[in-house]
Amino acid sequence: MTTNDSRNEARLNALMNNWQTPRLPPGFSGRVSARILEQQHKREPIFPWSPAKLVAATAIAAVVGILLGVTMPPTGAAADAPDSIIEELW
Amino acid sequence: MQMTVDRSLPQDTPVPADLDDETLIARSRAGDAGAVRLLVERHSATIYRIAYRMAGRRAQAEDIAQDVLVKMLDYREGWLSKPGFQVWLRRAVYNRMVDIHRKQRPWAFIGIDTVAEKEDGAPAQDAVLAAREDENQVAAAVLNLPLRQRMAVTLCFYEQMSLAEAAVVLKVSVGAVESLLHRAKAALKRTLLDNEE
Repeated sequence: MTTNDSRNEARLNALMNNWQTPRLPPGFSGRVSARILEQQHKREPIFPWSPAKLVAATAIAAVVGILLGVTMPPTGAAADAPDSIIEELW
Repeated sequence: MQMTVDRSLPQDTPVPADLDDETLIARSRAGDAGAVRLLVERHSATIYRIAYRMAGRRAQAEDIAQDVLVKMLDYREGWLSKPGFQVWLRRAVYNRMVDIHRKQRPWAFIGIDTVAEKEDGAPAQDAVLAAREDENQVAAAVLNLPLRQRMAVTLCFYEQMSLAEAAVVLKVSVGAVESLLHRAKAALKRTLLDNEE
């Protein structure tokens, strides 16, 4: 590298250092943090139930459904239906 | 059974300031507001600086930095390559800039924030105006470089990163970064030093 090149290099470096970065806008970090937390909050499930609770609730619903089906008398078309499919076939 | 969901934002919990980024990300994903704040505070200045060098406008730099930081919880350590969180953040700024560049109409002149716009009020003296003029010229010259060269200059010159680190961010070899810097410097010399003569 010649003396002229070195001088040019130094001059270029000096010039480039003139470009300063503006400071971070006030409150920027706070705004971004709030946005991240808000987004994260929105992603949370509507039913914040644990899997165990979900299984228990489904089991209770199934038992209640079966009990209702057994104890309720048949109505409508179901009331007129034959007692069993085998009877119908014979 | 109580069906209401607590929709209030999570409160700050004390977070040790010396925790590493990966731990903070894990805690942030679990809803730790303190960890989110610490992560953002730790990286926002750097990300904003890089975005500003790449975009040249404060408003756009703010948008880019915000986009990148909001997505930082998506960071997953690679299975084969482990570039690390800080590299990932810098690469995200570059990728965002590439996206913007692609969508931008080629004939649209975006321009830069002139340095004189930075401070309002006080009348500027001649020396200050001359320095600002220099600064504007440098900013315009750097912003005129192709994106890769601009990023190489930003990382290696302004962010003082090593060639190897810049190569990881840009996903190129060290030799390629050297070549980018060489071409960038030649262009900057032509623009800035030839103008002086």
